[in-house]
Amino acid sequence: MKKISLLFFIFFISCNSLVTTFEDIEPAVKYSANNVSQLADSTKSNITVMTWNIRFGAGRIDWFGDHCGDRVLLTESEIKSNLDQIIDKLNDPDINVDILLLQEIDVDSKRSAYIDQVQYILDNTHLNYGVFASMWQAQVIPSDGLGRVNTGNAILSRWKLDEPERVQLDLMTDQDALTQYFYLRRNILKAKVEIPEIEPFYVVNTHLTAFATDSTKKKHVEKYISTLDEILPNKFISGGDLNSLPPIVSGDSIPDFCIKDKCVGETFHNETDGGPHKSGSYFEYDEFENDWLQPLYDNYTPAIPLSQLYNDTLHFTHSPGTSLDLDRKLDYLFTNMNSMESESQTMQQIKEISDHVPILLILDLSSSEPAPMLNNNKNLFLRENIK
Amino acid sequence: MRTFLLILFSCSLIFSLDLPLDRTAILLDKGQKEIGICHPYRLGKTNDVEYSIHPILGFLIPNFKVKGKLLSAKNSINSYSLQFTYPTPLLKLVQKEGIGGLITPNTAEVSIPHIIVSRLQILSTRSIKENHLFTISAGMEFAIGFGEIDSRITIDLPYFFPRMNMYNSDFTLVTGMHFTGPLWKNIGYDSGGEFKYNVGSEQNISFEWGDYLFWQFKPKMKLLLGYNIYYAEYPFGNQWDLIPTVDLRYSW
Repeated sequence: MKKISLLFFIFFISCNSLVTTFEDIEPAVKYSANNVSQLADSTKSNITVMTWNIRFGAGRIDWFGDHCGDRVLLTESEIKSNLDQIIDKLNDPDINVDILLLQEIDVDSKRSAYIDQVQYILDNTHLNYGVFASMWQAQVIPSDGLGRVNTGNAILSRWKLDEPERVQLDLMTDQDALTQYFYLRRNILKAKVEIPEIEPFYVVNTHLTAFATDSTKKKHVEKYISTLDEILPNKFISGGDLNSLPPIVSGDSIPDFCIKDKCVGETFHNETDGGPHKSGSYFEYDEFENDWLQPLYDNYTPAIPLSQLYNDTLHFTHSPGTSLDLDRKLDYLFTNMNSMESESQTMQQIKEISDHVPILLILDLSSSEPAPMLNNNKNLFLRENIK
Repeated sequence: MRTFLLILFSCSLIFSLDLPLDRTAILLDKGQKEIGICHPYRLGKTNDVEYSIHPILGFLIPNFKVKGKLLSAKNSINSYSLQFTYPTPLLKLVQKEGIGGLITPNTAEVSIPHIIVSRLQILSTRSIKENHLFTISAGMEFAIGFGEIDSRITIDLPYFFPRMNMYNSDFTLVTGMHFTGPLWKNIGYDSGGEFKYNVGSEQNISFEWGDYLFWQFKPKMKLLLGYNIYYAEYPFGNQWDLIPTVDLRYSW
């Protein structure tokens, strides 16, 4: 009956589509700061790239949709307070970000007081240009009082971004048609950076599925890798929230995040039974899931090499909801350019502004030669010492 | 007045066509009734007073409208309408977790107090050309909330938002116009709209216009086909929408 009512509702507003769908490949939305600074015309030999899932400016507020919270619609002051903290970090001269890959950034959502966060960040930082690709755009999500939503990925840059392209990723198939219609349409966002006197290179940003229980995540990773491969022999810097753990040593075990993440009143599998699992917290739906990112480590230079991840919690990037105990790595940066690995950082000190922390990578643009391919560093990552 | 009614009566005899009069100043005769799928139940209580109520919606959103005759001029019929609506039960119904939740279920974010909406309107109808009616209207709307109403209570969609935005306004000024008349045989048109200005709200303006063709396929039944155009200032910006509409009306 609920579904019939909703279908009637869809028909009722059918002349202005309730949900925005996308072509396989289409142009992304371009932005620019209200006041473009002169830095847009200057060049640099070392540039700082950051990826950050900013959780639509919700900070660590216990939002209902991704953990155990009950908050749905945040106030304008809550959102601005969190965005201003993000902006403070971006404006920090010690960080000095040149290119920023953002995930979960809202541009027109009721949950974030309809603040266009791309424009807000551009207008309050030294970054001048941006491109945006929506992963969830609907006049209304008729569930839990969410209302209107438009959220997605963005690339912000000191310099002009050309050829912005939104590449559609597969939809989840473990949902009924109605849920799928209103659900996320994830994407890969690609643009070319034009730095004066420097050979143009591509920036690729993505946010892969977290909640799929079918083969969708595998398809997303494959599409992401093939998108990077297609850019070759051109140069790129790429990353985002891949919602995947790094490759794991054979015989090692993945912590039971279902139990770790469960909310009061929830029950999931125990050590002996096979399920159910908490979607978004289970990383073994496919027995080979933890090898999926290996080609990225094999073929490109990561911001944080697998060797540094070894036996270390310093590069975990995420903890759900209100927990400040970072306990897994989901966010990555890769490049086929020369990077200054010793300068790369997982910025765990910034863990109260989002449920993800940013990762920094310094690119050395002074050399025109691409970085040598990495050796296979498989089997170096252990996660036995999770707090 | 008598001339006007005579024209109206002769019009209905010639064309065997009852014009939709719900948006005009003309009242139903005593004992006359009308109902539609998207249309309230109207009852001519006396020749000077008409009641109307949405019978099905009435359980979710209790409502009542009285329309009464005012002093009429030579070429026009004038009337007033006073409507009361109690939207609280409907709002609480859609304040829920999961599918169908259109208002946040977190009552700390949005609590829904008792709200009564009243609308007072003056209508004036006159005949233009032969057999065609033109109506202008003006009025005011008030919402009285028995408790604090958070601005996030609104459902930010066409049709809904302009009606809910007034919960956070001081009052709303309403003005409208409407045309109806025969076109060919038992087919006619029904066209009209309203402009609203919310005083004391960040979103002031909304506008609705509906154009319908109606087909009186039986003496007591009419099929209406058309569309409504909506424009409003929303919290996210301004937006136009066009929504197709179908209605079936029965009068007796």
